[in-house]
Amino acid sequence: MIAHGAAPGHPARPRGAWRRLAADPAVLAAALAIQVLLLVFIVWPLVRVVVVSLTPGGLWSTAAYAEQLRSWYIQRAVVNSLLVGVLTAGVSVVLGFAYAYTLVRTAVPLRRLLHLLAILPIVSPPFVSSIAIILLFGRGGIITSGVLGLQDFNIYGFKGLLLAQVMTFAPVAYLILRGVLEGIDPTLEDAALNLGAGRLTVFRRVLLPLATPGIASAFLVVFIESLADFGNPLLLAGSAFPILSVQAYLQITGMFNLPAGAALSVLLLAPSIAAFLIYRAIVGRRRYVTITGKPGRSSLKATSPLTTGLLFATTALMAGLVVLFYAVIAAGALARTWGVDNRPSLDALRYVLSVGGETIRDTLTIAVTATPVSGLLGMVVAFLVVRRRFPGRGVLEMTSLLNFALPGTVVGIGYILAFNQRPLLLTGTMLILVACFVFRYVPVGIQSGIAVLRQIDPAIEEAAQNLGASSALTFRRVTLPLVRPAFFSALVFAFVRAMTAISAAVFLVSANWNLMTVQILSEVGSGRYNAAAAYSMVLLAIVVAAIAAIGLLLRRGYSPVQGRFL
Amino acid sequence: MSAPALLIDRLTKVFADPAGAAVVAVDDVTLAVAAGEFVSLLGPSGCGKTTLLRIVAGFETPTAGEVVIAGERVTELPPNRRDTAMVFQSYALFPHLDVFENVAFGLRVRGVAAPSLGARVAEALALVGLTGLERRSPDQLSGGQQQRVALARAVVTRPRLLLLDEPLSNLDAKLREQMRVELRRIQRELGITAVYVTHDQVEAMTLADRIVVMNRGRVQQVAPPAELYARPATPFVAEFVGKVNLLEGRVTVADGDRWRVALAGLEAVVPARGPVPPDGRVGVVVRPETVHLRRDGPLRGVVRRTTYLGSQVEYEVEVGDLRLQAIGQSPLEEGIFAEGERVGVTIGFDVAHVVPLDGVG
Repeated sequence: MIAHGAAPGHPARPRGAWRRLAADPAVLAAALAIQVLLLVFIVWPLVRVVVVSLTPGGLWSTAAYAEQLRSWYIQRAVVNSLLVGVLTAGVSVVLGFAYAYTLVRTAVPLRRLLHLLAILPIVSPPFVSSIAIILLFGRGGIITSGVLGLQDFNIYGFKGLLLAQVMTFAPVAYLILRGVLEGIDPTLEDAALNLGAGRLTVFRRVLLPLATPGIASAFLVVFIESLADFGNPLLLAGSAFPILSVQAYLQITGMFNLPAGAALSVLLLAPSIAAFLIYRAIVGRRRYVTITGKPGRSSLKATSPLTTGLLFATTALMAGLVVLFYAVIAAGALARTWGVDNRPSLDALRYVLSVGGETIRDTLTIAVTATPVSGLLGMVVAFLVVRRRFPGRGVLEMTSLLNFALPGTVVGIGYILAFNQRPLLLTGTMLILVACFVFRYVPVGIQSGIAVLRQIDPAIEEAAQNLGASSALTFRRVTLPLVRPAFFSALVFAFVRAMTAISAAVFLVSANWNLMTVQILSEVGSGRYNAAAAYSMVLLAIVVAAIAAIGLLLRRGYSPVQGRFL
Repeated sequence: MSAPALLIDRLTKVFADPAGAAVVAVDDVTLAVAAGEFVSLLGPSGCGKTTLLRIVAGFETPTAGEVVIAGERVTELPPNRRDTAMVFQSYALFPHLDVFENVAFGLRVRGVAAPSLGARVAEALALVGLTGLERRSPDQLSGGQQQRVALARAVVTRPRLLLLDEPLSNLDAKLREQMRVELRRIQRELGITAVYVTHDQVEAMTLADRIVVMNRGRVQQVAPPAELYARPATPFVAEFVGKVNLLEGRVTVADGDRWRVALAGLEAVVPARGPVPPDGRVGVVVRPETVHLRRDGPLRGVVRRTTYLGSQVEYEVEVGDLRLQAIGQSPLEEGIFAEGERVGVTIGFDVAHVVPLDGVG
């Protein structure tokens, strides 16, 4: 049998692919360079963590794991981490769904404001909820000791941590579920109503089954984030409620026990990877999309006025809690000594801007360096994956995504283990922080880039090449402008994350290069809540200003909905 | 006489547009549809026809007026209690259910149980010619098949009303023609009352017993297709339904059932219609197929454009100051006039129709 491709002048496919690559060295070079970078900055640190955890004392053994798992305290930490992860994910998904449903499927007022309030925790450092909770419910808290006059109330431990994580991650669930609900054609609900189904039946038989894959994804993403969370447990878990990520950190920085820290981080890694693989399986499966035609008009009649009222009340309550949290941080930043002397004062802000000036500069320098690199890299990888055929394409996409499922603790430990000797001696430098941020947050750019590119007719790029443009020129002059929205939202995401990251960065800061988030944690650790609150406000102001600036540049509001997660 | 299957009574719907201004989508519409009748709502996009249909289905609440189905006032009834099955423009098939379950949905929510359920779904699928595809998922079906599933899903519950919202607009031309025929057959077979929204006048003409032409939220005319074409009530209807030469003129002599009308440069005798307007100005509707071109004739003209369509030829011909569209039938037998050629023109004024001119322009 003669294949079509084997006819003279039409070389068979594989050879054709190589020939085309050879004719287009820019693509080949870019693909190769990126593969090497991903190998060095994603795979190699991971390998180092596993190797170090399996070679305590220089010999291959599982002794480090055995020793840790024999400890009652570590056993508790494993159970606690999983328990908090599952509960945080469950509660966040329920609240996030209610919030998203209210904003997408009903006509309640203030939807824009409610949306912005839900975004606020996402662009904040992931532990501001903890600071707010301590200011509200801690020993000098205005609610516990101020309003209620409680002397022995203890917010530290399970309930405080759960509250902090739900406040931190319910917005993430909201954003994902908002995307899910927006993707379900409301005409389907109209059709079910039209066929005689009651509102409850419409919800149960039509909306819920369609949203189930999205709900499962949201659950898994929040579970992964909760497991990886470091700031909240460090501040709120307390020693009576051990959490894995904090224990791994303490083994490394407190005991200098690298194998033990590595082993604990691998224990943390296993459930994350499992959750990530399930997530990919769900997302990768054929998804339900609107089958034909333009999206129909919707009546929004699938929700009764009573339900709408209840949903609005719930949503307003949650938004109110966000307002309360941020108000108390602002109050903390402007108080003399929190809980003792709450009269207004600018001392804390002055302290942050003078003593903390260098830290602020470091943080900004690193974020501003990492952001464009991450954004551009994301678009290049997306372009290569969608538009070009080359060996290792699938591996490229998978590796870049994998990094997102790795808990920051694992990445941080991996980086200090991988880059502490020549020729890759990077510990203590700015480069290690930049590399960490670039490769940690590039998957979001890749994913939103891929999503946008798949919707752009390849004929547009073919037209450019047909008119004589090279691959590189086509990318720069045609592709990049087309993926501009994805590019800018990737930039915003990378910047926000670089400004607010903590769990990996805490291992990588040094005397020369410190970060605001790390500084905030250390202020809380020393009991200087006013300074911590003031740092948080400054950080938040920078982030909001940057988002506004990029939004203005793009002349449209930043919508982190698109491609926020994988 | 029994109550009409559907009565739309002085219905008005006012929306607020994004800027907050009021937009009258449906403006004081009254319409009665008899049992078993096929009525088409025809008009350009934005004329209010879809809004009207959605009000009947209960998806929109009217600002004023009533909807009465088979004698029962349903204006405030929620959509799920109206028993008005709709075929959506996007079909709105449930993507998580297979063909069988899509069609069974309405029966299940009505509590129809096993043996009867299967039989009725099978019957509905047989009616639309999809027997054997029960276990397919909607996205494994072609556009035409999806359309049939949507139709089966709508008719399986034997609804009091079948509502169709531009159901054929997503199909290619050939399939559309085929589905038109089938839609009409199924509607007749079931004896179901149908309201069909479309902007395609050919679709409305071929399907409907009566056509309701709408423009800017108002009903322009309600009539069977032949009457609509022969005797349009307004210039809008004349131009929207079929091709037309709409000639402005002035009535010079009103003589019983004939009027003498002065057009640009020539005089015509046309069938009279009602009282002569005070200023005498009228529009004369001349369909292109009643304008004939010959080698010779009393009226001389010049062919300005010739468009060959195979079975016929479309001409634009200049007669004095008038520019007329004409259609030449069977060019194989009659030949074709070239552009610039001088011809004799006969205009079928005896079958022309007069419309009032107010509201033109």
